[in-house]
Order: sequence, then C-alpha cells, then structure tokens
Amino acid sequence: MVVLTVAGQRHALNAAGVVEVLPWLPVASLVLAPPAVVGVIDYRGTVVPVVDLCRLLVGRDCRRWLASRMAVVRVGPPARHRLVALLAEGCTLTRLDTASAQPGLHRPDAPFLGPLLNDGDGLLQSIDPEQLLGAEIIDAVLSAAADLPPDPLSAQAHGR
Amino acid sequence: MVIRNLGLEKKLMLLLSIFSLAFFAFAFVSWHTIETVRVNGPLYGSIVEGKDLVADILPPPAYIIESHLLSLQLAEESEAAQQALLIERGNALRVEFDRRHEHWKRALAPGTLSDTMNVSAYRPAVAYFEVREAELIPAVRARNPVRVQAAMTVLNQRYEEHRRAIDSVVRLTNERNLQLEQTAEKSVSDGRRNLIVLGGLVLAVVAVLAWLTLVMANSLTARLSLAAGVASRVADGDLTVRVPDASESDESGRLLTAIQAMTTSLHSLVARVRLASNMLSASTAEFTKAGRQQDRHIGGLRDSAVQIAGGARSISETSADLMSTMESVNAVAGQAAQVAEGGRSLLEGMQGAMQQLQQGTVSISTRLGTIREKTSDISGVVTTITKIADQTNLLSINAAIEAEKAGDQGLGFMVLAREIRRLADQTAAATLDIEQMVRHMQSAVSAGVMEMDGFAAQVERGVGVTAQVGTQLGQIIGQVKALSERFDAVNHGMRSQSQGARQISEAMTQLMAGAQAGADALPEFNASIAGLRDAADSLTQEISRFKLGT
Repeated sequence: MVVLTVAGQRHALNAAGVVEVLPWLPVASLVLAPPAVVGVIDYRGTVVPVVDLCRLLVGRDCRRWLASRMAVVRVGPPARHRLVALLAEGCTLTRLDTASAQPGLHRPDAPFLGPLLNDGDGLLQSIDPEQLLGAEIIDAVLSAAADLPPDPLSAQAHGR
Repeated sequence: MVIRNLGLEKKLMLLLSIFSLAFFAFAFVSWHTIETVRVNGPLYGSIVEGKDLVADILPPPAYIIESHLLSLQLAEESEAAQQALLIERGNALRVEFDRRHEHWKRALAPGTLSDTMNVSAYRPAVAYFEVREAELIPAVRARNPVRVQAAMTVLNQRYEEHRRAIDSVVRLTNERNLQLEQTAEKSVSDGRRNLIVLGGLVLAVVAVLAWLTLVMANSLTARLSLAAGVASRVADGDLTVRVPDASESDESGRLLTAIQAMTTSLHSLVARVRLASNMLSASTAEFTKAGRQQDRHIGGLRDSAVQIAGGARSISETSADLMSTMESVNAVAGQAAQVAEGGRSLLEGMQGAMQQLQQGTVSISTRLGTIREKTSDISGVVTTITKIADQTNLLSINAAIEAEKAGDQGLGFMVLAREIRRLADQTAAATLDIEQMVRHMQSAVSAGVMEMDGFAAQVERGVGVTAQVGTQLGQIIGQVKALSERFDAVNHGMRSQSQGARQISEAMTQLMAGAQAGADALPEFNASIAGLRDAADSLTQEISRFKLGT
C-alpha cells in the first residue's frame, strides 16, 4: 500500500493503482478548472491534471515540502483510463495486513473512505481515488481525454 | 522810690533846680579863684614881695657893680695874698655874669628890652672884663701904679657905659611891668563881667526851660489822660470808641495811634471770636453727634479687626507651613540635582562603554557574516545530499511499487527496494537533521546578524539617547538649580509674607486695643464735648458784653 500524508493524516492507497511517485514538479495552472484541480503537469509527454488532496480533504493548499509528492494514479474504466496526479505532503510504502482491516466510518457524503487499517505505527484510513475525486472531476478529466488519441505512454508505464 | 512817684512836671522842675544850683556853685568858685590869683591880688602881692626881698639883698650878677668894686679894691691892695683872693673872686663873678647872660639871652623875647640888655649892656661889660684881665691884673702883679691907674681909667669908662645901659634896661623893664599889670587887671575885670553875663544867661535859660517843661508836661499829661480814658472805656467793653486826634508823631501820638490800632484789632478780634463762638457751639453739637457715630464705628471696627487678625494669623500659619514644605521640597530638589549629577557622570561612563560595545558588535557582525557564508556553503552541500536522498527515496518507492505489482516474483526485488528506501530514508533523516541543524544555525546566524544589526542600531541609538539624556540631565540639573533659587526667592517671599501677616495680626491687635481705648475714651470725649459746649456758651455770654456797634 502506498501511504499519502495529507495534513498530518495518513491515507492508504492501493499500490496497484499507482503508476509512479514523483517529486513536486512545476505545475501549469488552468483557468476555469474545478476547485480541487491545481493545474496540469507534463508527465513524460502526457498532460496530467494535478489534484490537491489537502484542498480536497481539509480545504487548504498542500505545503511545499521536500517530502511533498505527486502520486500518479490511474482512473476511469480500464479501457479508457486516464492519469491523475494526487498532490500530498508526503509519500511512503507500507506492508499491510488487510486481515486486520476494520470497517471505518461510512458516510453518504464521503463514499471514498474505506476501511481503517493498522500498520503498527497507527491507524490508516484507506481511500479510493475514484470515489475521492468524484464524478465531476473524473468526467472533466475523461471528457478531456476523449478527444485525445490513446495514450502510448500509459501502456508503457502499465507495462513496467 | 520817692522820685518815681513824682509827676513828670515835678521831675523836670527838680532837674532844673539841681542844674541851676550846680551852675551857681561853679560860678562862685570861679569868681573866688579869679579874685585870689588876679594881679595885685593877695597871692600876686606875696610872690612879688618875696622877689623884691631877694633882689634887694643880693648883689645883681648881671650888673657888674660888684666886679667894679673888686677892681677898685684890687687897685688899692698891695698884699699878694689879698690880691690873689680878689682876682679869684673877680673871676667867679665873671663866670656868674656869663651864666646870667646866657639865661637872659634865651629868656627875653626879641625887642628893645632884649637889645638893650644883651647888646648895649653886654658889650661894655665884656670889654670891661677883658681890660681887667689884660691890663689891670698884670699891672697889679707887677706893682706898677702907673699902669694900674691907666687901666682903672679905662675900666671906669667901661663901667659907666655899662651902668647907663643897665639904667635904660631898668627903665624899660618897669615900663613893661606896668603895661602887663594893666593888661592883667583888664582881663580880670573882663572875666568878672563875663561871669555876671553868663549867670544872667543861665537864669534866663532856666526860666525858659521851666516854662517849656510846664507846657510839655501839660500837653503830655493831657494826651496820656486821653489815652487812659480811651483804654478804660475799652476795658469796660465799649469798642465803638474812637481816638479823636492821633495824627501827631511824638511818643504820645504813637501811643494814641497804637491804642486806636489796638481797639480796631480788638474790635475785629471780638467780632471773629463771636463768630467763632457761634461756630464752636454748632461744632460741639456736631461733635456730640459724631461721638455717637464714632462709638458705633468703633464697635464695627473692633469686629472687623478681630476678623482680620484671625485671617492674618491663619495666613501667617499657612505660609509658615508652606514655607517649611517649600524648604523640604527645595531639599528634595537639591537631592534630585545631586542624583541627576551622579546620573550624568554614570551616563558618561556608560557612553564610553556603549561605544566599546558598538565596536564589539561591528566585529561580531563581521564574524557572523563569515559564519553565514560558511553555513550557506554547508547548506548547498546538504541540499545536494538531500536531493540525492530524495531521488533515492523516490526511486526505492517506485521500485517497491513495481515489485509489489509484480507480486510474488518481485518479492526479492522488493526487499532490496525496501533496503534502498531504508538507507535513503536514513540518509534523508540524517540530511534532514543536518539540514535542520544548518537551517537552525543559519536562522540563528541570520537572527544573530539581524539582532546584531538591531543591537548595533540600538547601541547607536543608545549612544544618541545617552548623550541626549546627558544633555537633558544637564538641563534638569540647571533647572533644578534655578528651581532652587526660585524656591529660595519664594521662600523669602513666604517668610516676608508670614512676617507681614504676623505684623498685620499684631497691628490688628493694637488696632483692637486702640479701638477699645477709643471706645473707653468716648464717654470722656462726650464729657469733654459737654465741657466745651459750656465753655462756648460762657464765651458767647462774655462776648455779648462787648458793644460792636453796627
């Protein structure tokens, strides 16, 4: 599992969905973008939107630390998936025992929250990126991607 | 005295009688003296008798009859001793003759008598003596009778000449004496006549004087009695009287004028006194009223004085308190000035210390700058290390992700990736620590530099402030000193005010005492006014005795 730190809180992400972890790359801002979308980056020739997790979860911008990371994840249906960079204040790996998972808090307005995990350093909230980003952002990303030809790099990255 | 009681007339008559008596006594004495000493009078007769007696007895020295007798005797004498004796006597007679001649030459006035006596009688006498000495005496000594006889002849001739001249002298002298006696007799009879005439004149003058005296005395007594009458009328109070005739300028006239003036003055005086007595009566009434008012005023004055004295006493006490307060304030101000003085000297020391501090901060800043440069170098190195560690970390994460994606086949690679990540993490942690330390150091140095800069600025400001404070302290010291002087002046003023208030209080006390005395004296004053009123009434009565006419 990939652990992203957002405002001091650790959130677990399934490593299978993570394409690559990047340092804080220069972000080109977008006009008229949804509030959580900071801008776009050039990820190996592909324009990838950047979503600030801090802005999304606690309503403030992520602080730019040396440990701040961008985790590139795959969203959307497998046939026409798109890449989204999640901006977090830290990123690490952990080995998790999914058996110890306990049901977390389920709220209708927060469907992205998964079960609570324990890795020995404390409790982790597992999150689903697609649920987290929500239909609006995914639709915007996907509709933008619909006009584009299939991404060769995603296939390359997937293949790695 | 008896004479003083006599009237003027009698006095004058007495004076005249005494004068007349004295004159007649003088005249009698003069008459008697003239009678006694006149020529051919009893005294004169006695003197002439004595002279005649001497002339009858003695041989005349100016007449050479005795010398001639001696010559005749010598011519007859034959004895030598007798001759010498005779010659000796003849010589003595000649000496006597010369002496008398000298006398008569001086005594007789120039004239016929003098010529006859000193020339006509003298020359034959001298010739006689020469012949005697030249002829007779040698002839006698030679016992030559012929020469003696011849000498005697010559001598006889000379003697005759001399005798004739002497006779004429005697005649002339007798004539002169007769003349003189007649003259004396005439002057005596003139004196007698003059004396008689003088007596008559004196009698006439005395008579005239007596008459004048009577007249003068009469006029004088008449005027004096007039003046006495006027004076007695004035004494009776009749001031309307006028002196009839006061125009003469002698003593009595002046007396009358003076009486007239006195009466006039007395008239106006009495008029004024009457006016004044009326005014006095009115005034005494006013006085009585004023006395009552004064009584009331004195009461009010006493109350006011009590209040003022109380106020002045409280002012005096208050100002004394204030004065002591001022003195203590002054002492405190003096202490403050001393403290400020000490502060100023301390500040001067502090200024020096601050300047040293400034220099110190400058050197510290320089050193801190050096440290900052070094730390930035370190920082650069650390950044490089960090970047490397970060990239290693990323690499290990991505490797681990890929290994996880590979499932069981990637387990070994995953262990390796985990080790790499652990190392990277450790490196990152270490670099983090270093970075943090460096950052702390940097920030500390920066803060230190800034603080040093701020400190230097503050020190600079402090130096300025210290100088300013020193100046202000100097001003404060000056002001405190000036304040002290002003305090002294105020103190002096307060003291004088206190003294003044005390004096006012004392004066008020005295005034109160005076008012009390005035109040005490008021009855006496009223009694005096009553006496004054009585006196004014009696004065008015007295004045009414005088008649002033219209």
